[in-house]
Amino acid sequence: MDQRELVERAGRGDHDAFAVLAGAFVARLDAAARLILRDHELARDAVQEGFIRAWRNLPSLRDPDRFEAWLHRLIFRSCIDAVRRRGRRPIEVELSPLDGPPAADIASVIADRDLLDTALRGLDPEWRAVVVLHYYLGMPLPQVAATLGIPIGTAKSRLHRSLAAMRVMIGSDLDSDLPTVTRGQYA
Amino acid sequence: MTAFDRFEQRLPELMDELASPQLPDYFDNMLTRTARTRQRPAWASLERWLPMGVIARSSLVPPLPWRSIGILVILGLLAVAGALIYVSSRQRLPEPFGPARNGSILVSTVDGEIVSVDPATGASSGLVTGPANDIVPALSRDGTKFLFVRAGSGSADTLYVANVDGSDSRQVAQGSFVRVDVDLSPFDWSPSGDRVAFISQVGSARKLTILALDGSAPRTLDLGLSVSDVSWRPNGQELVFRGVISESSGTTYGLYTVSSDGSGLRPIVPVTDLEFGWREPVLSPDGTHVAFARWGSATGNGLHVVGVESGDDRVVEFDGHLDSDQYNPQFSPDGTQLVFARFENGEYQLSIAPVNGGGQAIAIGPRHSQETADPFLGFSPDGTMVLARYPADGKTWLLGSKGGDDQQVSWPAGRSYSWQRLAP
Repeated sequence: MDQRELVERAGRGDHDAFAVLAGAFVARLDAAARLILRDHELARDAVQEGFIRAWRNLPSLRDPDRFEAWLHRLIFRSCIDAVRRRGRRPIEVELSPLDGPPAADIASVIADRDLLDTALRGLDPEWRAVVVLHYYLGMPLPQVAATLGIPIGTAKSRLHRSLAAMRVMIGSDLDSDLPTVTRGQYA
Repeated sequence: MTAFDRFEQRLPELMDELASPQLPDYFDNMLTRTARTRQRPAWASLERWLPMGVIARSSLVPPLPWRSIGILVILGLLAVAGALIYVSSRQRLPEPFGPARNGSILVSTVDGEIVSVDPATGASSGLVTGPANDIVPALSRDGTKFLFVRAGSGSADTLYVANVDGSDSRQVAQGSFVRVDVDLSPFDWSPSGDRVAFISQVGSARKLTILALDGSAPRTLDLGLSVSDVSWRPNGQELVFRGVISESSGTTYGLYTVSSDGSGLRPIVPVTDLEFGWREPVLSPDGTHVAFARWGSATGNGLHVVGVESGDDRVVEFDGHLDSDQYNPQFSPDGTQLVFARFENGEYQLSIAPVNGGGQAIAIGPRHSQETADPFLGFSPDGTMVLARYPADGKTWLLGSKGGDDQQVSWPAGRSYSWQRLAP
């Protein structure tokens, strides 16, 4: 059974078909949500909320071929909603002074990953979403803009400013011996 | 090619390592929830109803001393005159809860400054300015001072308290308080203004912590559950919060109250396994009720109001509430109305409805599309306006709470706001 048929059946109330669809997308979307929100519990809430909203509103999806883009929109808007809700609420506070950034061998994968973690945490989640959708899910910027419901110019601006901010945050910790890996998709 | 250029090329690979895709452990539970969620919602309504009273304070007027004679009269009059001069020279303060007069609005600007805005004229003046990134101002309930966070590099932040005019700022704690994505202060002021409550991260647990502003060490309460959404009750002795207990037999969610010393923990209502059953709880100004949003349940979705003492729980009903989702309720200062985000036919719309239910909800402000994050919002201290910032376009509005009289503000662009309460 192809995806279109699954979407049509799920839209008619076939929950088994929806489960197959959800199973196909949930792992990647959960990982993307964790990258955007940098909080497992928040990502868990956002992804579940997005899928529940998808199930409820599937009958209103007119073009089954648009399911994936539509699902992405629901999930990532749920992520931004989750950020906003957290922003409105008292959040976690760590009173103990934190250790400084670990002195690590930045040529190692773990150090690079930590640097990325540091850089992502320093970004506004709405900027982070642009970075994750573009680099992690491989979306071209027009699709990123459509998914997040923002103008293409805003998406470009956020990506540019995100990279500039990341460069400032971690640039000094990078050394010139970093190995080159030619993987990824660029606008 | 610079080192960062090479780092940028590796972003997809590094993101894969940072968050490797795997079937999440909540997948089965999520499907269980979708299976019991109707695609065409026809939510059942609960018929229970509890009238919500508003505390009425009777003012006590002391009798005037009419029978004084001779020199005692003169001395008495002089004493009264002296007292009047003294009182008039002092600023009257509002009660910590309930309606108050509108004062200034503290705005956390996108440039990391905190400015004071007169909402009537739009005139603004800087309170905390300079190169530091100062964010999330939170005014005390009497409107005389405010907390703010100076976001440091990495994770080192500093919490300050200052007078409302920005003077006499002093550091009260250090740590990792907020990140750049936070729109509202994480701190809830106690009624007396000498303490704040917040949630601290201890390992993987989220615990209720109380910080006295006199410089003493914060106190973290070990309640045996994960805490969020904490609010002081007006008595200054108890707090209300959402709690999550994770055990091998399953996870439960509920609303709780506890004394500020950690004693007397009790659930306000029986806990449930509804993960989305107790969202965004807020305490009424008189501290007697909690409003919250529920969805993802087979029945009883929508806004709820529950009695803190009685545990009586009812759905806030209004015309059309069964056909829409409602989120993010906020009480009006007099506790008689709720403003909330309403999701209907693919659009968000702010609405106001009576806490006691009935009639139609009043739609206020612009409509936004389905995929737009719902806005930051809150009533003005006098209850005549709602301050709303829509994250989709970054615009801030002052919306008439009776519908109409909406105006988009022209202040400096802000990320978060705190509205000063003044004595009526």
